[in-house]
Amino acid sequence: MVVVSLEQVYKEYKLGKTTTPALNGISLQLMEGEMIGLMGPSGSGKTTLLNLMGGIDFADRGKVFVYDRDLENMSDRQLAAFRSRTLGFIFQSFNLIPVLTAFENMEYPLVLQGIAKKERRRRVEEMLAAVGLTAVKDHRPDELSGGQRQRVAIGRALITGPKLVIADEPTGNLDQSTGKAILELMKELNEKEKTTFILATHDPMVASYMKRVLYLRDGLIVREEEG
Amino acid sequence: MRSLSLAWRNIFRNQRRTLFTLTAIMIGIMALVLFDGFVRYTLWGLQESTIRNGLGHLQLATAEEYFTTGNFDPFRYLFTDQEAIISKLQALPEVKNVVPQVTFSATLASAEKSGIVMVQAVPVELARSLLSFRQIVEGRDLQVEDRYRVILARGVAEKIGAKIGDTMTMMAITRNGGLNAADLEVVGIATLGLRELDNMQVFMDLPTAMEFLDITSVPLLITVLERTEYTGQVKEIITQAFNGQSGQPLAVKAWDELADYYQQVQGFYGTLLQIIRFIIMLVVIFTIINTMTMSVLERTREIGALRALGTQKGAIIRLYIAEGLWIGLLGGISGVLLGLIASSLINNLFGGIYIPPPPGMAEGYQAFFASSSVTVWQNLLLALAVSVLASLYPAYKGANLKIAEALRFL
Ligand SMILES: Nc1ncnc2c1ncn2[C@@H]1O[C@H](COP(=O)(O)OP(=O)(O)OP(=O)(O)O)[C@@H](O)[C@H]1O
Ligand SMILES: [Mg+2]
Repeated sequence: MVVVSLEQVYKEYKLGKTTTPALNGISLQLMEGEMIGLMGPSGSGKTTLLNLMGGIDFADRGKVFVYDRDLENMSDRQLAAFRSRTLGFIFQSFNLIPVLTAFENMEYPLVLQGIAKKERRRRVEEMLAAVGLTAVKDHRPDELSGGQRQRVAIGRALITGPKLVIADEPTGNLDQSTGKAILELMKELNEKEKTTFILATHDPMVASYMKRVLYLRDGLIVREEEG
Repeated sequence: MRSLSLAWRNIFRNQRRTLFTLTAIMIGIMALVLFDGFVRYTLWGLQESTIRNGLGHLQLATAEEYFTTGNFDPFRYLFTDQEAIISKLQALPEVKNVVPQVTFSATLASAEKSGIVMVQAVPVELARSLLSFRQIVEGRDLQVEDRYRVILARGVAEKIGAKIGDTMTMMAITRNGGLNAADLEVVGIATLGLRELDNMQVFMDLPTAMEFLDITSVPLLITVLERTEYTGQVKEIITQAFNGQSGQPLAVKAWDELADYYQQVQGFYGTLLQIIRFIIMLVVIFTIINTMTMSVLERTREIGALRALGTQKGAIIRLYIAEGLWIGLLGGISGVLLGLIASSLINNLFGGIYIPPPPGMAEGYQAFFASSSVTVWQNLLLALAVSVLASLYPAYKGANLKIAEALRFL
């Protein structure tokens, strides 16, 4: 089953008089249960590509389908509901909610889904244990280390059991062993739950966990490797 | 629910800014509480001095026209069963006194000067209740046995150059249409506080007036109530229970319907209060919009993240409105409290504020702040409404941020 399908997607940014092309006619298909790595130099368009897939940014030209739905034709309401139900987002910079504790940050997506309090508790505690944060669950983001924040962000993305996880450098701030643990967790989800992953990264170690790696340069896929 | 608790935490993030916003609301609301208290006190003072300078709470006559033109021809409106009505009125527990009164215009002349005056005649024993705000500034008050003796309002005494002990000649039309004249001794000079009344009022006892005018009943019954608040309900009782029972028709007017000056002042202060309220609230609104827009800007990335996670626009709007609600509640409560504290400090510690004579008043007065529960609720609601209103624009801005751009924001 095709999860994401991009057809001849173009995107450029205008800043004053200069226009920066970010995507230059990208086509790609992401199948269910895939684990895809996205590599490429800084500015090659990785984040832009992920944003389009997540329905938080829109192409100038071309089509973006996620689960056969044309994102362009969805209302803001529908997109928000779609993101909440289907997606797990891990941002390049963690973007935690500063006034919420680690526990509450992870709980938030479940609140959005209207899940009952007891069930939320159970799932958050489980996820806290999985990412190794039980000891600091009542800390706010500014009381956590970079790596701990990163793990909260990962837990927040995975807690709803999303079908598609979009991750922008998810292990950038993690040490080697924690990074590997997180990747193992993702791999497990991928194998057990058929969760589809797309990860942007600069790290070849991360890429080695992927089944397929796409190389981007100047808004184009220049190379593709099977893992 | 979620919005409220999230908003509560958010307002304590930038405490300096929140404090600044709260101070703006607090000072604005405090000023309004004080001004409202001042207006209440002033209107209350004017109300009581209007009522207790001879108007009474309710006036009963035999026809509506009496209240407009009756003083020039009181004879057409005389009661036929005055005593029956008086005793029925007096049976009501809210009624303190029923004062029969005749008012007529007359010419009052001293040796050199003369002037047109309004003579108000009531039984001397009831005068104190009806005219409790009248102050004798020279001479003495009338006594029950005084006949053909008068008290002049201060302006009248000045106008015709009368002094205590002088004899004046009064001329007026009597019941049969003829002109009657009588000599009157001035025993006192009084002030009523209202310049308008001070320039035309003359007081005498009712028996003398009735003899002079050749009448056996009066055209007007004035009801003094135990408390001014009873006015409305007693008027209701009288119009419903009394009308149709007596032979004559009955026209009832409450004091405020008869007090043009009071109504003007009330209208004036009402408008003034609205204008001041509007200006203060405008300042508060812009302060809140300004600080909240800053906080939207600061939290751009966070809003982007919330939205990317699937938060609806409406929830972002609710979040900021909830912050406005909290700020309004905190600012409103502290503003009202501060206003009440300041009022009671000024009232008790400084003994009020001296206000020079306002237009139309004969004297200045010591103003106090009379706050009521209405002041409290009104200003609390105002603070809430205004800060919610002010949060709409920032909320809208926050909700409509472009998500991808918001997430890149540094
Ligand atoms: N909002 C924006 N306004 C202007 N230019 C933008 C904007 N967003 C992205 N760009 C530009 O688009 C190009 C692609 O950016 P993108 O963030 O997708 O790259 P990236 O591969 O994620 O880089 P990195 O590895 O540094 O995260 C870059 O040249 C960037 O400067
Ligand atoms: Mg990027």
